[in-house]
Amino acid sequence: MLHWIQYMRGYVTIRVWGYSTERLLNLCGNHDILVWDITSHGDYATMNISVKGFFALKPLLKKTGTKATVLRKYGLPFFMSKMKRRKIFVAGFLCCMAFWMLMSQYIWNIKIEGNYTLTEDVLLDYLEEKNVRVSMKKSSLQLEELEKALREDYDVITWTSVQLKGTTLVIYIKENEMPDYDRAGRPEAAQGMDLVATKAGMVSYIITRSGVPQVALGDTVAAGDVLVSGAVPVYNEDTTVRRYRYVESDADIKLRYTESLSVRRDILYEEKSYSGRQKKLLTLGIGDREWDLKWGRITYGDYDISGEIKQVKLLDHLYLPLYYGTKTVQEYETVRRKHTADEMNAIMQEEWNKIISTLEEKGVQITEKNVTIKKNETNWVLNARMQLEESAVRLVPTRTEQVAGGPDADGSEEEDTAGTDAQ
Amino acid sequence: MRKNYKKSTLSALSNSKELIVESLKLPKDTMLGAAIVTVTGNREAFIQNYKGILEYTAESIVLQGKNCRICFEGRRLSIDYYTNEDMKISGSIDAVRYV
Repeated sequence: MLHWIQYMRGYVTIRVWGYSTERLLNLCGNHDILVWDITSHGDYATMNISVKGFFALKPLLKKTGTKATVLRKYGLPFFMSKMKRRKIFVAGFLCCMAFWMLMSQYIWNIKIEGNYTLTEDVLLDYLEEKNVRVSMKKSSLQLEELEKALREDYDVITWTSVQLKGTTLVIYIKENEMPDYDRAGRPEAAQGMDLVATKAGMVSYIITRSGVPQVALGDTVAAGDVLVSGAVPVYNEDTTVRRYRYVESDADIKLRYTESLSVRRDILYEEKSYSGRQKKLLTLGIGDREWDLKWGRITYGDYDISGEIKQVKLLDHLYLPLYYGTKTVQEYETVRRKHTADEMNAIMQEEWNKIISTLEEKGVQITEKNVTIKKNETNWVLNARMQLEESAVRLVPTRTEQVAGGPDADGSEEEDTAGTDAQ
Repeated sequence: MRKNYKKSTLSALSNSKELIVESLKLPKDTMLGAAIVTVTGNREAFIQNYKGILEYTAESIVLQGKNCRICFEGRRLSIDYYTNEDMKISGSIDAVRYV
């Protein structure tokens, strides 16, 4: 604190020599002139004194027969006078500060963390809709409302935290890890859910847990057919239907169907043959605009441009709308080549593996397959005829007009009808 | 003889002054003009209630008190600050003598 005050007021280091430096010190004390850091160097002494004190020192020096010279000047008053001579520098510094202060009022980067099923593009589009975008003012951003809106508009988001870190808007979200239908819960008693086939095929496996199966093992069904009905009939004593109880159908069903597909690959192919000639470009960008700095024209016939653009950032989170990077222009010629038989075999094998893995990803089992490869001069064709087994079903709301009698309005009867149902 | 008398009266006076100060529990530094020397280790000394500085070199600093002189001896002695009321000496202090 004391140092700060001394700096603000300004002080000088002086060298004092002459007849009696001790007497000078005593006089300084009596005249309330503060001196500090006094060091004796034998025939002279150095000390620090305030600027005001230094001017008051003159008569005392005369009185004591000592002399003083200024060795160094410290403090704001000296700094200011120095700066007065360097106006452009000061102006530049102030402009720089003003620029930073202005720029830090805006958001220059949006980061989204914790998203698995919702892609960043989806969320960024959503933010755009909400007028949250890069280069918006920080003050016009309502963090809590954005958090709330995210939670409300996306059911899958269970927790959000929106933070401003410097000029970066960081959105942390937590998605629900439970599968979708579990979270939706049981349908209300007023509405049942049917399981319908999404593909035509033969029922090869069926185990019903809830609902009424409408098909049996070995039945052939068309796409859209109801496999398990969500309307469970409740019978009267005389086996007539009294009413329907609606449930969400649940069953393991597999449909078997055949599918054939063919993949054609040409033997001839085009390849880029790079000539080795290349040019490097420096790219600078501000906002949406971009400039390539290049020397001379690009005289290549066909060429590829590849590169990396980086955004200027300060520290960790202070992003600026300035971009830079380099691009490489590579010349190439298109050359027509022929695949060898081995290469074609490998390509076909790869295609086949791709087909299998996509089927596996969808949860489709291959029970039978017949794969042939037809070769001719220009191309190879892979023909596959497969028998597939898949749980190709989906839940749809039970259509109430399908079944006679509306849903039971009285929920209290639910308990005892369950008993009747079991009989 | 007379001189002796004067001396004894003076000492009696100062004794009585001390006695009064002592019995009234008055601060001794202000009443008797005694210097207060606070020495921290052998690196720092803080002095209050002195009259002036008599000698200052890197090896010794002699201060004038009301009744006596205080002499600090050592090496690389420097005065951190110096005002009318107090001062601070730093350096390697070897001895403090009352002369």
